[in-house]
Amino acid sequence: MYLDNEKIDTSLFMQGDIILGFDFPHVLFNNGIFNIDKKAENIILLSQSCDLQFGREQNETYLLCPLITEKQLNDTLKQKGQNANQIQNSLTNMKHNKKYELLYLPANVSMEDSFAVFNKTISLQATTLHNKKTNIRLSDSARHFLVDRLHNFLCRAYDPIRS
Amino acid sequence: MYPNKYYLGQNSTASSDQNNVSYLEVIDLKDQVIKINTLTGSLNFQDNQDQQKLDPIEQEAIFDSFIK
Repeated sequence: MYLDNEKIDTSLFMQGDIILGFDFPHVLFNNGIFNIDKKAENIILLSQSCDLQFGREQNETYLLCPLITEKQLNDTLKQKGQNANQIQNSLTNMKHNKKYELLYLPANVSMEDSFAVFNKTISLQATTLHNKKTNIRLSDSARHFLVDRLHNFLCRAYDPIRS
Repeated sequence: MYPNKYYLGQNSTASSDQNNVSYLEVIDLKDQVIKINTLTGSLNFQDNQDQQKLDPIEQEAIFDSFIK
């Protein structure tokens, strides 16, 4: 799923790169006003790799989405009143990639079991990646898998019954 | 030649221990399957009929996790 750390070329970013502890802006809209709450999140880069070459190209923005850990999700589902079986059912479906909005990212030495949350995708200026380094890089086949999941999320056939 | 809807699914069993897979499939509504080899390996794309959206409680749980 992931490249060995020593194989990561941190001189460039690639689609699917994961950056830990990124200052992610959560935008909330309340009473006609946008409020931005900055919080450290693990994030995954969703832009195509060519669009992430900021030094050589005139790419000014990029797409990213935050990750949520399995533990966070487990805790909040419990707070929502879900029982153990319901939580286990949800997490099993999510870890089998049965939910359009999520991509399961298995734990490695520096990250817990996590999910990319596609419906929290935002665009930021390229300058927000200055001085940032990739912490985890997907293997080539895992990157194809990410693209497939994005396709399922964004490009699935519209079904007015199932949506 | 083909109906105007396609499903590009993924192998529900794909996981961290299954990096080496062998082909891509495009499945149309008549269950015809086209396998596409990739340069870098492959993935097993399956019918995504069993895919679901997050239910309302799951969506709320994710939203709450981020704002807290």
